[in-house]
Amino acid sequence: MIEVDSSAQNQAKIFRLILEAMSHPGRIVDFKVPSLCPPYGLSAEMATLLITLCDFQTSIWMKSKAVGIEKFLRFHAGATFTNTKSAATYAIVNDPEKLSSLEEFAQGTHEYPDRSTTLVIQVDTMSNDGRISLAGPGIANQTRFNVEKLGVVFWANVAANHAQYPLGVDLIFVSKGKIAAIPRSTQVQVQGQD
Amino acid sequence: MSGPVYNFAYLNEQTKRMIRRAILKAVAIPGYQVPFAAREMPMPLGWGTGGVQVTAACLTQDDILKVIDQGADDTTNAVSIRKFFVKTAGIATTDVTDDATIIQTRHRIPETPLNENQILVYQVPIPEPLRFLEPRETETRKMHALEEYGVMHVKLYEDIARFGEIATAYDYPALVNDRYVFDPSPIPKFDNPKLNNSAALQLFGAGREKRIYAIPPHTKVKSLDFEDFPFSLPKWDKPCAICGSQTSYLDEIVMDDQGGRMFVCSDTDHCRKTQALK
Repeated sequence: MIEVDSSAQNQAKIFRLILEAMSHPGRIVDFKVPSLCPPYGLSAEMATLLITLCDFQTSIWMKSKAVGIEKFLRFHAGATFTNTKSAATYAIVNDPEKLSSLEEFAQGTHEYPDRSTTLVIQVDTMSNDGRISLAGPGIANQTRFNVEKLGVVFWANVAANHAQYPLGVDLIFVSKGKIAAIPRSTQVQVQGQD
Repeated sequence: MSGPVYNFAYLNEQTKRMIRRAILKAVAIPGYQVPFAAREMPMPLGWGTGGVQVTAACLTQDDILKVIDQGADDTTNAVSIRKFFVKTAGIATTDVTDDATIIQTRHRIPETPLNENQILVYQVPIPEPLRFLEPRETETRKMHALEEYGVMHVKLYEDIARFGEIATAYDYPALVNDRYVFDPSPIPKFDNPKLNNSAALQLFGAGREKRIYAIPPHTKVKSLDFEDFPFSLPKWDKPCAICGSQTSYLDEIVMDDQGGRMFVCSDTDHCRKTQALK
């Protein structure tokens, strides 16, 4: 007999969407999430992703810790929080345009490059056009990727992140109903100037 | 009467989350072996416990599962793993490569080209390509960190010195995304070209050795070789004795005590398909 547990089903489906995004960098995947009422500062997409991936074995970093968000994720995922970027398995980034560098997050070590932070970045809109071109594993030739409000500084940081491959952080972008990813293996190039 | 109650796909949710996190890291670092806390499964180590855990962490209710062992759907290992998931996940199964969304495999890549909606899950006995050359994990880890792969080329060179050719016929090492030398599990080297630039995501699970690694779609995978001894594929004199295919990997089957031999497709679905076309 099989116990039909809708949360197990949902989490499996959500994971497959995250996996699709991660295996096809730059692809903007439809991210239908269950109706949730996360606290202010945490979108339903961000909340769903963190609940799917986090538990007592992971620690989350966020810039200005909001008690509501912390309580919510502690209750639903059992996740722990950290104030140290380099100790975080996941980082909640709500204002990526203010992110000065990616270097302070855990980059992994040469022997264990997997011991790195995954940034989950909240954005307004993503599209497959513009001046950022992506190439590498998961991309047939190359693809374009654009995030509203994110300028040259951010993308220079992402390019620098790739330059130290296999070390570095992995990026997951969420917006209303969408998810996309740029893992460290992706080569990022900015075409033209700002 | 009620039987034992399982969580969907046997594993508990916390275990799946741990495996899912490892899979995502593996996809982000193609060819790198991510350590994971492999669980004991209700089958012996060496029967595909790594592949089973990866499949369990990926399965959704809508998936159609195909399981092959040496290309065949009807061998012991394939049958028991398929039954395991029917019992614990209630998912649909198929023998047809084109219909499957997840294919768990032991030691073959299907002849039918895979598409981007499919995931190929390999059962891996020894994930470390350098293990037989250097038994210490601390050392092989350093060798991967430093891209110190000379010893692997020496091994292939020794093959040439002794046999006049690279005699490694399966488990043939390859370089993923120009960075990590990886072990494609004991698939015949005939299948190595299918690893390169595949449309499907390829996930590798080693249960006893507690490692997960991956090759994302459209990733460069180059079999190691030398300029003057390039990677080459095995050839057969005759086509498959059942379907007549000249392009598939053939198994040698002993027919009688008089030394009778028969060469037939190892991929049973491919053989059936080719017969139907005749």
